[in-house]
Amino acid sequence: MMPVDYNAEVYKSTRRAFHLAVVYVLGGIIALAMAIPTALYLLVPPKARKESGWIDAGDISQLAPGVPVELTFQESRLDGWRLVTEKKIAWVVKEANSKIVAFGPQCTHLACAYHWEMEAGRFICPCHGSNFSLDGKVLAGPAARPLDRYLTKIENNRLQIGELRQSTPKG
Amino acid sequence: MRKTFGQFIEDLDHRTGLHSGLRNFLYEEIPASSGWHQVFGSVALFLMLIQFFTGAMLAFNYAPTPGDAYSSLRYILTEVTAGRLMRGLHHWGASMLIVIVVLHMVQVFL
Repeated sequence: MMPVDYNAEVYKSTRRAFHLAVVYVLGGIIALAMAIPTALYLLVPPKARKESGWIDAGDISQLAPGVPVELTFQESRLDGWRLVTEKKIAWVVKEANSKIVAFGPQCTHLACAYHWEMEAGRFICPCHGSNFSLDGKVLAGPAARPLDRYLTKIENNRLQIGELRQSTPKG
Repeated sequence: MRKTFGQFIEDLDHRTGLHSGLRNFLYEEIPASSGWHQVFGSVALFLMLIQFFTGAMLAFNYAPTPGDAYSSLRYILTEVTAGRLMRGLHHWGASMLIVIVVLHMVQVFL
């Protein structure tokens, strides 16, 4: 077969050039029509779902004042299409004025799990010996700020736990 | 500027053969008796490419396991941005591909 000479006069005629331009422009439009939805699909995050944020952590009417109790509760959240359930822990204290406080379960030094020491009357972290008082203040050890607190509210004697708020070094 | 662009195209073609390949495709010699009924082959190829592309995109968010298939599909349809469009293209492209391939076979073999 003879090689085709694309520079021949017939390939430069305006009708042919016009159709060629139409082919390129249509191809470009099709490519764009695919590229824009693809960019949206890959780059724009999905709509955020509204969640109430309060989790029922159990009945607290039997709670003795001044004695912290370790409460476990389940937090469920949607990760994409999957419902993920996580076990969470809060140290719940009924204060003298019967106000309820829920502390996050991790030491504010290096996030070890601390526990309540009944004889000492303190929260004690076994890792580096940080001590916290009943209201979460640092009594001893390397911890730089008081225990973190969950947002809480009481509904029909049941404790509702919200998000964990990080404490500030002073308060 | 025009000359520089032409030079660029020429260099690109020299290294990749892209431009002359495309020109070969566009200037393919076809019989004088040909007409619109001969586009089906190209349409089938085009639809095939669309299927591969949208399929790859959907695979980012689809879980092909019995437990997760339905909920991941619902996630694509209701929450992912343009997910409904992407799935629609894949769905209708699949049906169109069958129609076009049948037409193409009728055109070639009958």
